[in-house]
Amino acid sequence: MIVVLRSLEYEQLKEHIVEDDRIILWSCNDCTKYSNLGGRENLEALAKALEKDGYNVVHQEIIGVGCQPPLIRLRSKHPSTKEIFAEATVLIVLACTDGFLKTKRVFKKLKVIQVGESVGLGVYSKAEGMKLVIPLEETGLPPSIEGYTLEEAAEKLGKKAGPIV
Amino acid sequence: MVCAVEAVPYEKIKAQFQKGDRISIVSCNTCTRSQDAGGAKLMEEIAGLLVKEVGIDVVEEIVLTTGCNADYYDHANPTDQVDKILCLGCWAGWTVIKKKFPNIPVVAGVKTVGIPAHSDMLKVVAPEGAEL
Repeated sequence: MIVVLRSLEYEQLKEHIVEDDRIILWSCNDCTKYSNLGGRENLEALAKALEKDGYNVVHQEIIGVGCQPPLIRLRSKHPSTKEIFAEATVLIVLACTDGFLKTKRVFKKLKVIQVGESVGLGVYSKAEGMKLVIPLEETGLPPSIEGYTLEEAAEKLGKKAGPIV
Repeated sequence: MVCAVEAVPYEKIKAQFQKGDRISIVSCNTCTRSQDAGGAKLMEEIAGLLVKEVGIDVVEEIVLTTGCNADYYDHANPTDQVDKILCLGCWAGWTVIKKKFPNIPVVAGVKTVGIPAHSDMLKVVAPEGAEL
């Protein structure tokens, strides 16, 4: 599984959008959910926060695996979502780096905002949650069989862990 | 979900085992299977070759939906009555086995290349003892 952290805070996210924007919130429901950044509940919480602050969230989209181009493309073509995506102006993506880049490539006309970043491979368990065990070379962190909790990894890498709101 | 992997050549895997070794084989059925480095079919092929050519005893074979979910491995109730474990999962899956059985050598039959980022490949660091 990919461990997904973030650099953006909620207040920083708002600097990328305006009240007139028609915003779609997008989340991978696999690695990013296990990294406690994405998933249905976190998407819902972000929608409520943005709406409370006066922003226009027109749609929330959960994608089973956010790094699979056929699934991403399906959203741009399927009758139930085609119009929604065609009329939106902003897409806020809760996914790994790969998921973000692939989503951006499909929805070229939208302003696509990256929230999540891949930092390595992790192991999930119900008891311990997601732990980073095989970091990306660029992080400088050594691999760990015991693993780094998301909070430990975020602290070591100067990033944030968990939901944006 | 998908990390980039490649199968370790069979001859390198074969060299890790000796006649009479009691082993178990654990395979991930997601990333490694989709890249022809794991999965039930390949596991059977490797097991058959190791039995025939090396003379090992395959005590147990386990296919996990995802090898990087430790709960799946626990649920499979893997035996510790083996000399070695062959892992056909990525290095994250390798750590799952190593954490549960720190005293049993775990042979990594798969090399983890990295994490895709569209057209780029973000390299990962190999845990000590995982790279053949």
